[in-house]
Amino acid sequence: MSIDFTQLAAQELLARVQEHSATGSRLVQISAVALPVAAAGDTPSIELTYSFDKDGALRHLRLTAAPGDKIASISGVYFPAFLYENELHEQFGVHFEGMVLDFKGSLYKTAVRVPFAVAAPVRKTPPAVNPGEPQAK
Amino acid sequence: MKTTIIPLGPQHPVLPEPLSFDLVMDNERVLEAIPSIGFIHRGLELLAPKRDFEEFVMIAERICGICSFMHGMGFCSAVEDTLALPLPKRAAQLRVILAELSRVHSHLLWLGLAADAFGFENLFMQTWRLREDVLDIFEETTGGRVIFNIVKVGGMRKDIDDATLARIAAKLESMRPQLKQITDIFLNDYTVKNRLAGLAVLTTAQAKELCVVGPMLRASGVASDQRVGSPLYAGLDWQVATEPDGDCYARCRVRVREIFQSINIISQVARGMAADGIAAKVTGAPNGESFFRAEQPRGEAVYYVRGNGTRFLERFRVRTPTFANVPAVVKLLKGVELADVPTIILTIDPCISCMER
Amino acid sequence: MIPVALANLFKKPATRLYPFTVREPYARTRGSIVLREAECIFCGICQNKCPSKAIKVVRAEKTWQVDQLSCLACMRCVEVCPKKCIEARSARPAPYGADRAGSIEKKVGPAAPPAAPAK
Repeated sequence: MSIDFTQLAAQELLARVQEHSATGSRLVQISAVALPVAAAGDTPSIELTYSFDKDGALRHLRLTAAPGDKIASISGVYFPAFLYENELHEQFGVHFEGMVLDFKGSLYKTAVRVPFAVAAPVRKTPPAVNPGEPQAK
Repeated sequence: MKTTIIPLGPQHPVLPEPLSFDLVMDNERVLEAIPSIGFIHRGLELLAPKRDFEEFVMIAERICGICSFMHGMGFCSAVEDTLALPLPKRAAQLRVILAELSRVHSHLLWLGLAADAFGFENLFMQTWRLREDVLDIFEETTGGRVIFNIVKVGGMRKDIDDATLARIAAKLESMRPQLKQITDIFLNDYTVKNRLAGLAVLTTAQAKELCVVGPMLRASGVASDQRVGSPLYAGLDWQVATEPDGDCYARCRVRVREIFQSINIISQVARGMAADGIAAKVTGAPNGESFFRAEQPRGEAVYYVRGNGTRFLERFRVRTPTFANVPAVVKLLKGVELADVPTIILTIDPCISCMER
Repeated sequence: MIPVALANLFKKPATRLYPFTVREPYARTRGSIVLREAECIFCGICQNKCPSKAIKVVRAEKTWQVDQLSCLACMRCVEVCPKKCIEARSARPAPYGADRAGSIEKKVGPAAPPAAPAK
């Protein structure tokens, strides 16, 4: 199943989000996935997906945050984003700059730091775009 | 100006689950509310890569006790999307019936808690007495009062025969007079109106700006409901409950109207059940990603599933409606009196175990 | 509310006086699981499929145990058992003592090899 997303560089994020806000889109969610790593023991890059809803249709913005990258916070444009960004900071270790309400890593206070930043297993076969089709070899 | 900080929570008699606010007060007025969450964060999403996707439904259902069925249903629907698995019609209808029953029980639970929040214990008990009948229906058909474990990837694990469904629909219809008597107290009683009307107003523009979902959004005049346009609800005659005022009273009214709409939907579906089986065979493993949005009693819940061709999912993420509504509470608590704070926190219908997973 | 409250004074209570009146569970109520060890082949499928990892099977010693306090009573093991020798019961197990005493129910198959003598 493929979803309708636009891949961005980290610098383009704020401008695109402001475009969505100008059209009256609602911020639906911000989520993250840890990507596979080249060598065991490396810190994984994190793929962020921002989802917006306009009249029932979902549009996604996607960007990849390498370890150490600082991503601009969108909580100035969409106030509820501060909660998502604080959670992602604690779970995945992504750094967001300029959050409206910054918990500085003490939102959940888990015993294990950045528990979700576990690299995904490397795929043995490439993913099928449409299920039911034979997988690309 | 001398201010005091009063901590509300995490343990508080009116809160169903632990949630903490540090209230910066000037006498009886709240100047600012600083939220603190994370008391029941279990990291359930981390279990998804460690459990077979067919067994993970059991865990997805246990994210929350009140919204349990729709979590299982949302997870299964998202996985079925990645497998391109068509659902038999009867399974879809059974899911709709149980989802609407979930909504009835959840709104009755909220009504009771709201009455408890402003001190009306008698009304709280009477509302929950009605809710017991719904929980008995759940136990008789699915085996559990709170966690059902009846939904699986591909359909349902057990069937509910047409005679039982007709009996359930008749029982709900017979509950209508008592429901009307209790909900009329919520909507017309002088003391209840005094506590709810005009409190925590969210205008349409503010509701859209704060990205709230569910009854919060619908009570501010926006007709947004994920059931509209969903293939599960196609062909059913029901209305989206919308209110223009945006205060706590309007949100109470929206939820009361939704209870009666849900009973309508259940009666309609129970009359026209298909007979094409309750489960489709699952072949292969989830590959690719999918978003599924369900209309939980508290609002829109987003289920994101990413599979990589193995039986273990790469990522499962739930964005629950309370997660989207809590920032609105932070804004709504400014400038209210201390006695109104529990009512406002409850008006979003907080389900903290969903929010923190 | 006053009519409701007054009518309530003359109705019988909505609650049951447990433990003097016990409600019988419904036929489908998911209470707990029980193994019929004479039919068990100790294949371990129930162990693999258990969502909460409550079942432990040791094939060589022909033992099967379930931690009743971890068991979710989801009945998945009942569904997947190839010999259908796990039974779903609608009654919950009796309460346990301090330190989970007695919560792990161990069954040994009839053809189990004799236990090694403790050294």
